Amino acid sequence: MNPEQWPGVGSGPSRGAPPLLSSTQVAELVAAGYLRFDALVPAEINDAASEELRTNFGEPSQGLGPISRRFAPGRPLSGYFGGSPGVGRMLALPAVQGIIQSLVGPDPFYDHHAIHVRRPGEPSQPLHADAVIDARAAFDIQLMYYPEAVPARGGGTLLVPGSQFRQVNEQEIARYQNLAGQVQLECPAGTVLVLHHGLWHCGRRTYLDGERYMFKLRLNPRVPQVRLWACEDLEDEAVVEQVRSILERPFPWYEGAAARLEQIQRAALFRRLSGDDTFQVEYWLGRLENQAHPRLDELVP
Amino acid sequence: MPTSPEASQATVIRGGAGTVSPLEEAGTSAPSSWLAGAPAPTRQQVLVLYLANSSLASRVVGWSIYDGTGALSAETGEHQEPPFHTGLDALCAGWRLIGASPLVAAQQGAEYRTAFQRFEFFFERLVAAPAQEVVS
Repeated sequence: MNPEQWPGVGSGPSRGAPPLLSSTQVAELVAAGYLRFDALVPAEINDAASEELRTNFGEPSQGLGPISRRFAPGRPLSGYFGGSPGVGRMLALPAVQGIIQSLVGPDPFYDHHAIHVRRPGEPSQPLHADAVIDARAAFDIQLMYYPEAVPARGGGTLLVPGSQFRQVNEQEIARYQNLAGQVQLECPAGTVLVLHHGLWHCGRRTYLDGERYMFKLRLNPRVPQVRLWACEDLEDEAVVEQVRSILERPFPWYEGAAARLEQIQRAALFRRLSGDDTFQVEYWLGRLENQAHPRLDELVP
Repeated sequence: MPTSPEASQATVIRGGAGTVSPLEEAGTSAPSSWLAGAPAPTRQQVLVLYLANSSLASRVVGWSIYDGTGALSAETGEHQEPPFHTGLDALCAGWRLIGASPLVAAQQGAEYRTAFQRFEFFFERLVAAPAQEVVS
């Protein structure tokens, strides 16, 4: 069937409310810029998805990497992928729906998708952030789905935890080859990553004989990203302390002083997501908000 | 390999047998004849260290290598451990500092934003050129 003729993900019978993320999981996304769900997808769906990716959704592969046929962007995800036996069923899994709904709300806009292939002999991609420099407070998510296991030296995606707030434009960071604490992804089949759109990453060289496949899907929120997850647990002060602890955690590649600025970005985003504009991490924002006016530059020409 | 008729007639100096330069890996055209010239006796290796603060004695938090001999890979994400603990350690090992990022005051209105690595230091060392082969 032509993918454009597939019924949408949301067109099947309702399976009830999907399981939503917890506050500590959302805090992890805010701090690290990604969440990882190992072996989330059952083997049967992985097998079907592998077949889809290796044949470019039923079309003979031209060896081009990302498939050329993309859907119209800026339309609800529920209109796409529903009849796909692999990727579509993965997206319809309650666990995946819960991840999506917790971060960008129900039935977000489809932005684009791509099949990423790492072939033997191909060099690594340069380190980059996707799309263009993005100064929004809102964020898109990118699902990365690995229907086949990615072993060591198998070209697993390189991730730079905590890089999502850095304002750079795509491959401007290609000069950076290695950053302390970088993640060289190895994962079992059926693993799903969900990334903040700004996270630095790249596909790495595979040293194995076979190709490595990954399905990527970018989604845009259609609603304000406020209290979309199972945030009732924030009533528990112990959970709030866990959230604060996660948001305070530095990553090894941060410059010492910049680590504090990263905590400010995290606190500001968690304030927006939780709807709590008094939330503090290390009191960085609270100190700056105290007697904030006049600013020095208002007094000194 | 040269791709244009002009370049195909050039004498191109390449690294030793079995080496593939980063330029070739990246699909970049081979150097033209006016750049090839006579072979130099040495090659430059460039090490870029990103440090935790503006002091050379501070911790290495990121690193890159660009090797004029073509022997070392310039690919992303290949190494989990830094070559040195600090910038000073690189000096002690004989690497020469040739560049350092300036200290720039925060831009008004962007004082709390982050972007590129702030403390970037370029080092070099000269090493013997690999055995040459001439490709005509």
